[in-house]
Amino acid sequence: MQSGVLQLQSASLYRDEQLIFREISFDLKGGDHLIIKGNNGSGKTSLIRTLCGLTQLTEGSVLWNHSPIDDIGSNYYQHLAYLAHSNSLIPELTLLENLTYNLHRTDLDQDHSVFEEFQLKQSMNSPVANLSNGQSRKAALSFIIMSGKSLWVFDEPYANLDSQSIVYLNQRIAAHLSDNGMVITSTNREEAVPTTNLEITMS
Amino acid sequence: MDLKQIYKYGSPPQYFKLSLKSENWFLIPGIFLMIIGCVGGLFIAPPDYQMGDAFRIIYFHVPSAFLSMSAYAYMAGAALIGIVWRSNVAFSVAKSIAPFGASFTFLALVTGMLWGKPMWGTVWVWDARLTSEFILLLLFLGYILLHLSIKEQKKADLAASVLALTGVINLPIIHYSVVWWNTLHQASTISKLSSSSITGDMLWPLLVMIFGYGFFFWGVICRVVASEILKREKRSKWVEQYIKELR
Amino acid sequence: MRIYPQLFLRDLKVSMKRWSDFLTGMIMFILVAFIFPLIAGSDQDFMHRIIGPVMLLSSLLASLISMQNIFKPDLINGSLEQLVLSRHSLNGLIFIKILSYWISSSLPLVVVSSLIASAYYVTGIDIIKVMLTVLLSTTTLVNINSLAAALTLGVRYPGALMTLILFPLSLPILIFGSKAIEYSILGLDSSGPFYFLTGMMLLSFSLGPIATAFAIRISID
Repeated sequence: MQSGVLQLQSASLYRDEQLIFREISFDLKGGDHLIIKGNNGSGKTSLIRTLCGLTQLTEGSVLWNHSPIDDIGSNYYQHLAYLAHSNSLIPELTLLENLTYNLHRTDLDQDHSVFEEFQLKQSMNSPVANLSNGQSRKAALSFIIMSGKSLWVFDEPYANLDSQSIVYLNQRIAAHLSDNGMVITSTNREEAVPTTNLEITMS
Repeated sequence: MDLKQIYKYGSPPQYFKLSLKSENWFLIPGIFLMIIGCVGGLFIAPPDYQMGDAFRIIYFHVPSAFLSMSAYAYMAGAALIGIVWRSNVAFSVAKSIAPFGASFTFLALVTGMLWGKPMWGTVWVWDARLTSEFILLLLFLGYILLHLSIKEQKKADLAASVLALTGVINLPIIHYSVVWWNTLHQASTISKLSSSSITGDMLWPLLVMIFGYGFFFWGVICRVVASEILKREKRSKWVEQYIKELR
Repeated sequence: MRIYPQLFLRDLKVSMKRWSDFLTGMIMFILVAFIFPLIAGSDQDFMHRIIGPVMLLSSLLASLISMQNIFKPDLINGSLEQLVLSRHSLNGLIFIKILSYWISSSLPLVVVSSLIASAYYVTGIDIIKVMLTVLLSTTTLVNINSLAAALTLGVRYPGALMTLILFPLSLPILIFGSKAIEYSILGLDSSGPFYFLTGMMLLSFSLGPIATAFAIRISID
């Protein structure tokens, strides 16, 4: 898989003069898995959102292949798949429709085995609003796994997941990493995460 | 060091000192000119042959109206600079202008209505200028309320600035459509005020008043901008130092 | 490049599921139009005189009601962020979104306006002109409204604020739209107002999505 380098350089974020985080730096290459640990309210989500370009840093910069992501825009976004707290699913549409109209869908990977592994096959035609929290989470995760993008950014992927699905998700992450992909995971459930080479603890 | 950084961090203390210093350079001439203008307009200028002394309210109405329109342009200009360079100072200027622009617009409306009473026998006429003034007031209020209702300072600045810019694109369209609508309904009533019917000794106090208002406005804005910068930078080192020096 | 039709179809489909929002707008449109003859008299001359302002006023209120929800549900369910993270231009995506929202919120109003025009004793070709006016003015209103909705995304009760933002910006449309209908019915040359409305439609569709996209980036930060 074609990959790139994601760099965060001495990043600080303030909101209304209130410090969220400061002076965070890291380099992420193909095959790297970055874990962002920390308690609730420690700024994990803010950090992840700045990595996606949704929130502007107060100081420092996010670089993709050595260019600021604000300048290259779509060249960065074509590699990025982001799982937010909300699952980014449209509750009125069925799971299948959500998949059909997913804006990040790439046609290379139409392997529906992910849905089988997550036990979603029988729910494909029910509206997302009727799914349980865990099921919606798994559906959103499947879309990221199927997106064919190289940089996966997960905000609390293990929330609401049963142990079987956690195992499967970790398998897919490992496969993605060995395929030269990159993963960023934020979590406060440390027991679920596989060991990794990169780690940030927010406080 | 790129331009963005310079604007963001380099300048607030300088701008703060600049606006404190220049405050009096605007305020004193402004008050001086306004006194001259008042004397000239209220005592020296001859009464209008048709309206008598009632016409003298134009010495307050016209400068207010003039200033309200230009205040919106200044605000939009500051908003544009703020958006382009993400300059906190420019946003402070835009935010500080808004309530004063609204006040002068309100003043223009009230004096317009007071003038209308003896002129037309009623306080409100659906005349193009008054109506445009009213719409300008709504644009100012929209900016102020949008700014107030968004919690986070940076977001509020940006969103309100987008609104100010939209307003400035629309303002000419609004003005001309109101004028067009108005000409269909009634002949323009204010043409008496057009410069041809104003004599020299009536005109000079008006010009003096317009300049006086302008200087006074900028003097006040300098002070408000200074306090706005102080408020926004309250956690930074230079403010701490400045307060120590004051003591 | 299939993403634009894809987003277009998705939004239409979602709108169909959220039909009650649009029905509320439609009911508002009809009620405002029907209340004037009931309370102010219904002789033909009077009705012909007021149909222009009434059509524009009801379009304004109808779009105000349905437009509050153009971005808010997407913000809550998280799909708005995914639009920003798309590799396609956000301006283009927002353009598509506004267009599809116009189709589901305002195109029905254009159809209904023909019935209202008949109820106002308008006949023949003038009915078409009333429909054309509603069509041209709602396109601009939708664009102004989407900007107002995007700017007030972070506000808890945006209704009143949106009205305050919307009113001055939409005034030219209301004036010229009313005149377009009035001139048509009086048998005068109405091409001037129609040209103006068309110009405003083009202007708003070229600037509206850009301003809205910018406002969305601000609001989701």
